[in-house]
Amino acid sequence: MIPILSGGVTPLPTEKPLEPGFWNAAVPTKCVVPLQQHAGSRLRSLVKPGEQVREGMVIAESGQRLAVPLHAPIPGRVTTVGTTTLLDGSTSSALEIQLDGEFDRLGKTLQPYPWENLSPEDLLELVRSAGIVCGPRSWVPAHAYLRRRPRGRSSVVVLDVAETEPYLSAGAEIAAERPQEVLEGLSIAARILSTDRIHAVVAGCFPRAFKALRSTHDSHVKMHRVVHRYPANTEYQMRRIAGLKPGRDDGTEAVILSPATAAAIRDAVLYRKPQIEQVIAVGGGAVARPAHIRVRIGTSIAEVLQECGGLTEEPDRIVAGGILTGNRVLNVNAPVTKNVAAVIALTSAEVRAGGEEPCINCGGCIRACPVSINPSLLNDLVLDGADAELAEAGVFDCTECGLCAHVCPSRIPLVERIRTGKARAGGHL
Amino acid sequence: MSSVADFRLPHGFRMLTVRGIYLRLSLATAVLLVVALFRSGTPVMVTALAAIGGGILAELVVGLTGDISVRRSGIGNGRVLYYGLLITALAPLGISAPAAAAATATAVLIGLWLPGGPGAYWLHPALVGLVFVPGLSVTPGESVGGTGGIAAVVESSQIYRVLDQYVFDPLSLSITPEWIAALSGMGTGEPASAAAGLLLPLLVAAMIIVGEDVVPWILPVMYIVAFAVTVTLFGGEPLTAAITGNAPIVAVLAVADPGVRPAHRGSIVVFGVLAGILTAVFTVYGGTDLPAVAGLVVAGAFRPLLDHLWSYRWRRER
Repeated sequence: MIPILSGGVTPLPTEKPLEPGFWNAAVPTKCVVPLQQHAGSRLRSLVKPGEQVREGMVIAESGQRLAVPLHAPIPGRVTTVGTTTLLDGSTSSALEIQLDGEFDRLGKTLQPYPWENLSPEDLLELVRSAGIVCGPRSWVPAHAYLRRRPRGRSSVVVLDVAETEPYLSAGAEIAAERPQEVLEGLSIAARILSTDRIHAVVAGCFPRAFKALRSTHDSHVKMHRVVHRYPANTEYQMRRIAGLKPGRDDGTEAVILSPATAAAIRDAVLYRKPQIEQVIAVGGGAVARPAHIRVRIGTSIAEVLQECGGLTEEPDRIVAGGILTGNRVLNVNAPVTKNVAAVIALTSAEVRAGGEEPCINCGGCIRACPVSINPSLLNDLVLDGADAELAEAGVFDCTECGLCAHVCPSRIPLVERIRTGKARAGGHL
Repeated sequence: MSSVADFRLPHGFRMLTVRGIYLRLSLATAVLLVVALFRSGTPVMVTALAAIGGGILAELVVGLTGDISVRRSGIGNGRVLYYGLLITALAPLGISAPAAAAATATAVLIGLWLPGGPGAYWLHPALVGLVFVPGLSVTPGESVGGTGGIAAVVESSQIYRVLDQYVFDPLSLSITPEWIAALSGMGTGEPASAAAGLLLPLLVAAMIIVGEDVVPWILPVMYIVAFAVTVTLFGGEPLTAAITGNAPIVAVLAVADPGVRPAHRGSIVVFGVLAGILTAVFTVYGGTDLPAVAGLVVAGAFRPLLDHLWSYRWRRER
C-alpha cells in the first residue's frame, strides 16, 4: 500500500456506515431539471410547456463548444419552463416534467454498439452528446476534460477510486459493483486520448472495489492501492502514484476520471445512453437507512432522503456533497443535479460545531495541510493586517480543501480567513 | 434567510473543541486519581480540591483584569480543572492543601497567562506550577500514605481471584498476583506521587485521550521508548523506574496538552525522544524530586527551536 506522506487526515469513521451496493430509487412522478448543470454556456430550452418528451430526449442545448446537451430524465409532459430554487438557495432556469408515457430504456435489454472502429473524434462526440459532467466535485463537461491535452503531450488515464472525503463513496460502490463497465469506460477514454497507459488508484478503505477491479482488470491497467487518508486523490498525488513528475514537467498529462464518469462514458458509447441518472451516497446520523442509491437527475433532495427511510431525528444540517467541500442544503425540495455525489443529514454530534476561540497552537492545521503551508500563521497575518507577508507565507498555494478548519479545535474559520488573505494579497480588498 | 455561517466550510469537524479536549484530559486524569484515592485515602481528594480551587481563584483574578470571555475560557473550557487534577497526580503525597492551591494558581498566572494565554505558552503550565512553588517536595518519611493502601491491596487480591477463576485459568494464562499488583500500583512501596505506579488506570487514561485524538500516539510512545532505552543504557531498571516515578503520567497526560508540543510531525517525534531522555537522565542522576516534571519542562524550552527548524524545512520543501 502506498503511503501518503504530506499532510492529510485519517477521516473519522462514519457514525452509521452506508450499506454496500446500490439500488434504483423509485422514479419520481415529477422532475425539475435545472438548465445550468455544468461549467460553460447557459443552455436554452428546446421544449415548451405541454410538450410530450421521451426518456433521454434532448430538452436543452447550446451551440457553444464547451456546453453539453441536457436530457429528459423521465418520459412525460413538460409542465413548466421557468426558474427553480437550487439547493444552495440560488435560482436557475429549469424545466418541470410530469411523469407520463412509456420508458424507452428502463427495464429494456439494449444491444451494445461496436466502438472499436470509431475514431477518437467520433467517440468524443458521443461523450459530448450524452451530456456527461465529471464528478463528484467538478462542473467540467467530460468531453472538454478529455479534449484538454495540448499538442505534443502524451496522456495517462487514471481511475480515481481514492475519493476519501467522508460520504463521497458512490464512486467506489460503482467500481465494486460494475468493475467491467468502469474498465471499459477507461479503455474508451484511453482510445480518445490515444494512449495505452491506464492506472487505477484505490484507497485502502475500499477493499471491495479493489478486489472487484483486480479480478476484472486486464494486464494493461496498473493497479495501485493507497492508504486511507484524506485527501488521497489530488492531481499531485495521482501523478506521483502513476509515476509522473508533479507539475506536468515531464510532458505527460494525467487525465483523472471517477468511476461514475468512466461508467457513464461506457454507457454513452456502447448504449448511446445520456447521463440522466446517477449513484449518490445518502448518509449521516439522521438518516434511517444510509445507503447508495441510483436516482434520476431532477429528483428532489426530500425524495432522496425518503427513499432511504427518511430522517430519524432533526438534522443539524443537510449537505449536498462531502462534509468538507459540499454545499449546505437550504432548500430540501431542490432537485439533484449532475454534480451532487452525496446527500448527508448530519446530527449535531457529527457536526461538532463550536464558537470561535483563540488559537491554542496545537499545530493540527499544519499537520493536516496537504500543500505544506501554515494556516495558523496565515490567520494571524490576516488578523494583524500584514498583507505584504501573505504571499510569502504561501496564501496562494492554498487549495481551500478545508482540512485546516476541519481539524481546528478552536473552530477558527481558517478557509474564510485565507480567502480574505488571498483577496488582500491580490489587491482585491 | 441564511446567515454567513451557513456557507462556512467545513460542515463537520474532525477534532474535539478546546473544551472537549480539556474535559477529556480532565476525565483521563480523574480516572487515575480515583484509583489513587483508594490507594492513598482522603489526602488525595483534599489536594485535588485545593488545587482546583486555587486555579479557579487565579482565573477569576485574571478575569478581573480582562474581559468576561477570558474568565470563561479558562474555567469553562476545563483547563483549570485539568491543571488542578494533573498537579494532584504529579505532586508528592505529603504536600499541603495551600501548597497545592498555590501550585495551580502559579500554573494559571505564570504558566498560562504570563506568556500570553492559550496558544502563547510552550512550557506546560501545570508543570511550571509544580516547579516554581516552594515547599512541594517532602521527604519520604513525611509522606501521607493514607489508610487505603492495605485495603486496596486486599481488594486487588479479590479481583485477582475472580479474574484467575474466570479468565486466566480458562485461557491458561500464568499471571501471578504480584504481577497484577505491580501493574495496578497497589503493591508498590512508597510512590513518588499520588498517582505514581498506577499503570493499569493510566492505560485506561491513555485509551481515552489517544482514542479521542487528543494527542498523536507517536508522542507518548517515543517518550516511553526513549525513557526506557536511556534508563537501560545507564544501568537502571526501566520497569521499576516507570512504576516508582512519574514518567508514564507525564508521557500520557502532560504531553497531551495541545499547547506544549511542537506542531510538525517530525518535531513531535524529536520532542518525545528529547523529553524521554531528559526524564531518564534526571531519574538516574537525581538533582530534583520531580525528574519527569523537570524533564518535560526542560524539553519544552526546546520547542520553539524544533518548530523553527521544521518550519524552515517545510518552507524549503514547498
